[in-house]
Amino acid sequence: MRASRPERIAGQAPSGAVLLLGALVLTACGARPTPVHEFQFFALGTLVEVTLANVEKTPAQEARRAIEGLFRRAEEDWDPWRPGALARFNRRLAGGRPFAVDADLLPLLQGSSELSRRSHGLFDPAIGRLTELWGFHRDEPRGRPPEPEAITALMRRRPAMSDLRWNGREVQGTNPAVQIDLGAYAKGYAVDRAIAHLRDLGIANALVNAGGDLRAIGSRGERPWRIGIRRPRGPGVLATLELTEDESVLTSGDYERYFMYDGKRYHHILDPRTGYPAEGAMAATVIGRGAAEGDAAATALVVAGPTEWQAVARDMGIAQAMLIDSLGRIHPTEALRPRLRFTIDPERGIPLDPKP
Amino acid sequence: MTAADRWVVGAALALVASLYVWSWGGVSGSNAPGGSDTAGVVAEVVVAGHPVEAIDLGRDGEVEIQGRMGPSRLLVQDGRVRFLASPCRGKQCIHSGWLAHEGDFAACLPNGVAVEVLGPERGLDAINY
Repeated sequence: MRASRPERIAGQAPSGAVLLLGALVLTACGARPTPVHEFQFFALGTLVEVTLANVEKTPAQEARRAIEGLFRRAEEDWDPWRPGALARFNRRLAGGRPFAVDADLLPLLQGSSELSRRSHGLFDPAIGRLTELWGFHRDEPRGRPPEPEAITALMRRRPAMSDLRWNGREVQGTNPAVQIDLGAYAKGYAVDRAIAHLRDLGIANALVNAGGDLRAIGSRGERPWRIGIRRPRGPGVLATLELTEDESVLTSGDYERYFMYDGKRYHHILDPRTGYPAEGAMAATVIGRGAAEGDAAATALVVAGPTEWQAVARDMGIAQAMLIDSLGRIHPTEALRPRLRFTIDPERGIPLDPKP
Repeated sequence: MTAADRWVVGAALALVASLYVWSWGGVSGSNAPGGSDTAGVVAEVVVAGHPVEAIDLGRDGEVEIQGRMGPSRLLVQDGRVRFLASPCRGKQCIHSGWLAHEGDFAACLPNGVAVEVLGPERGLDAINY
């Protein structure tokens, strides 16, 4: 595909001069370029891109089958609006009786519960009904906000992750308004699983990118993995970043899924305290080890907004993060700032003219 | 050295020079995607996960790509590309506007059509969003 390189130059029968030249070229260039394999597929409602470096063709093909299979199963099992494992879980949870959770689903639910707690409840997968009310569970948003009365009625029932009562691998729902939607966690979790699987296959240099949620291990061979962070308004990236041995980069933004109504942007990052799209921030980026954790944290930081995000990041153990407030001003943490290579003036922030 | 040898050596040198530029030319400091020196030259179109077309952004015109719901139309102009029409309802692909720089990306997810600008040498391995 894109990164194909000539590995061998076929030609005429070599004369002495050509052989000499060939020897010089080999000396000058050293080893042949890193073999890079890329593959892509659609899953979990987005484009998944996987890049493998320093891997031969056969293991790369094996990895492709395994990773695509992993994402396909995730798509079937973790979408509450499809007849899969999470939908079954939600039905049983609403029933109010204790039940044993599937082994596959258990780490997702317990991991997201823990992150919800650490995020002060700002990342809360229990608000699936709210997401549904706003229509953000579909590929195509509904185009207008729901009736305020409907939002108030749902919020009065206070669905929250803390309504799940755990006893080992058994759980009991205590609030029928709870519906688990792992949308802000599952993609990152799938990326983590894909990286773990690649490591099991003996692959040490890989980048898995599920719709912008990404994690990389090793390097691209001759250089580190290099990524760009998209601007929340207008095309292009706002900064580039080189990744170290094992890092994930996760961003949540109001530009990923939204609709405009009466000149106002309504986006998919809903504030579990108000029932409305979070205000105060356009986007938050989190850099850390695990993609699932980063996914949840990025959502929590957008909800937290400019006044609370640093406290939430601290309590979630996130040192490297960046918030872009609703005026387009860029706020990286001290630990992240020196690593970013901005392509715009970070002092001036993001130009707010939304027209491309 | 015969005349044929000289010709072969000359051709080989030219080949080595072009291979050097092709393989290593992008390494030296051209990875700032906002910079004009990295303006993309080709946009890759992916349909349902498979690259189907590489569009030369140096040639103005319209390109029609068949997606799963119907045709998406792309406009190429002044070294840039954008969605012009798509059979989705939300039209977010069209609102994405012009894609001009390496790494710029837009997709019509309902139609399964994605477009990404590739640089002369891919400087970025992924775009986070």
